Amino acid sequence: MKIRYLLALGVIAFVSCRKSPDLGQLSVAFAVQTSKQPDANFSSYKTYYISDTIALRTTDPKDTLWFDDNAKQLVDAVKMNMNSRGYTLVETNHSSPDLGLGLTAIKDLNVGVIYPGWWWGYWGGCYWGYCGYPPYYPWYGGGGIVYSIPTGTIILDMIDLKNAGENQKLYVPWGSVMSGGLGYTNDDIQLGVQAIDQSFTQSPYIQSN
Amino acid sequence: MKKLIITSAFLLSGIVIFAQSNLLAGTWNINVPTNSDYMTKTSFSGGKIDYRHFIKHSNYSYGFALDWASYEQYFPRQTFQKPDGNGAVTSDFVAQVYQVPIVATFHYYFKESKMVKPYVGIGLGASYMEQSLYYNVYVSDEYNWGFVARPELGAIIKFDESWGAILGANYSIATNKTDLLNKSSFNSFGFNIGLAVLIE
Repeated sequence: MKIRYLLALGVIAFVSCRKSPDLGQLSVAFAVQTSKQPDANFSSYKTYYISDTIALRTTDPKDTLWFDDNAKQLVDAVKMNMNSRGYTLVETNHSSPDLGLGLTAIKDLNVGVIYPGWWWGYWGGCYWGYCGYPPYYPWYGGGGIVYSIPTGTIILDMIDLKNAGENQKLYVPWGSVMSGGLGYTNDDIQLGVQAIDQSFTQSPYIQSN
Repeated sequence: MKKLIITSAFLLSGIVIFAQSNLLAGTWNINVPTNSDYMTKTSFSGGKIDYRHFIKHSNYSYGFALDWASYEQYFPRQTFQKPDGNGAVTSDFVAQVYQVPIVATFHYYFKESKMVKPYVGIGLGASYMEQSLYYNVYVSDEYNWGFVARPELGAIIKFDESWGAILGANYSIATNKTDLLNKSSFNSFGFNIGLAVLIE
């Protein structure tokens, strides 16, 4: 009987023994996750286009675009990095750019396991002038699934428009998911800019030459 | 009820229960991870319940042990490139590992003095591991089982015929994987101290 009591107490002791982590030391900087297609050839593209507006996904269905000065700072960060890698910005989406860059921000919305492309919100619709083309994404993590897209996330997609017609799909040679506190802190736009810079820093293979 | 309170008090104070033919011990464990390129911080949050049955007219015992250990370490912001070169993650993070090995044990006891009974042994079994990476306001979890082999040595210090202290050291090799960081094992040095009671 004594042994039974001891084992029962042991189980209780062991279950209660896991410590709660000390998260006070974690920084507020965005976690930056980039992924590329294994066969991507970045030097085959020369021009790109990015809109000055950012697609917004929130709990408010009317809230679909973000186009204030803060949004512009994020877009400008993408332009600066693309230009520095030798790509040329074209004036409009109708100027036949080789690449389409798309920024999406997810605010006030928590989502569980989702598949890349979910944030386009385009399934069956039109995106970059192409209707009904499925997106073809690089793998995030090991399974092609981004495990969670929590509130405050910025997503940057690079889409191959040069070969979209021929491929019959919107091939995404590279993408970045930046998870942070967008909407939580006063300096979050600056943190977002740093996250975009970091996306390119950890992807040195993005070069037009 | 009184018995329960007394035994509870013994266990919670880290005592080993130890008898002529069976030994039951509870220990406090300190574990030092040896995967030097990943987690290096010593864990002081661990314990063990160790049951041994002594084989009559021999120097051997067999039994089982249930351990637990909680590791935690902060890693400054850094970039992890995926091995295939097709991805990278940059963040600072707090890594937490909670390991629960359950092993069958076999021990050999050397010639004992009046008070000290030294031993060597091995534990073989399964290791359950929860690994969490906390970054920004998020967490990634991974749960898995692995095989564990754990050679150990130590000594029982007898206070009298019914109870004593137990001291031990071991090296644990567990095959638990950490896919997020591309690790295929989790190894550690362990030290334990506690008390024991003998049961007929």
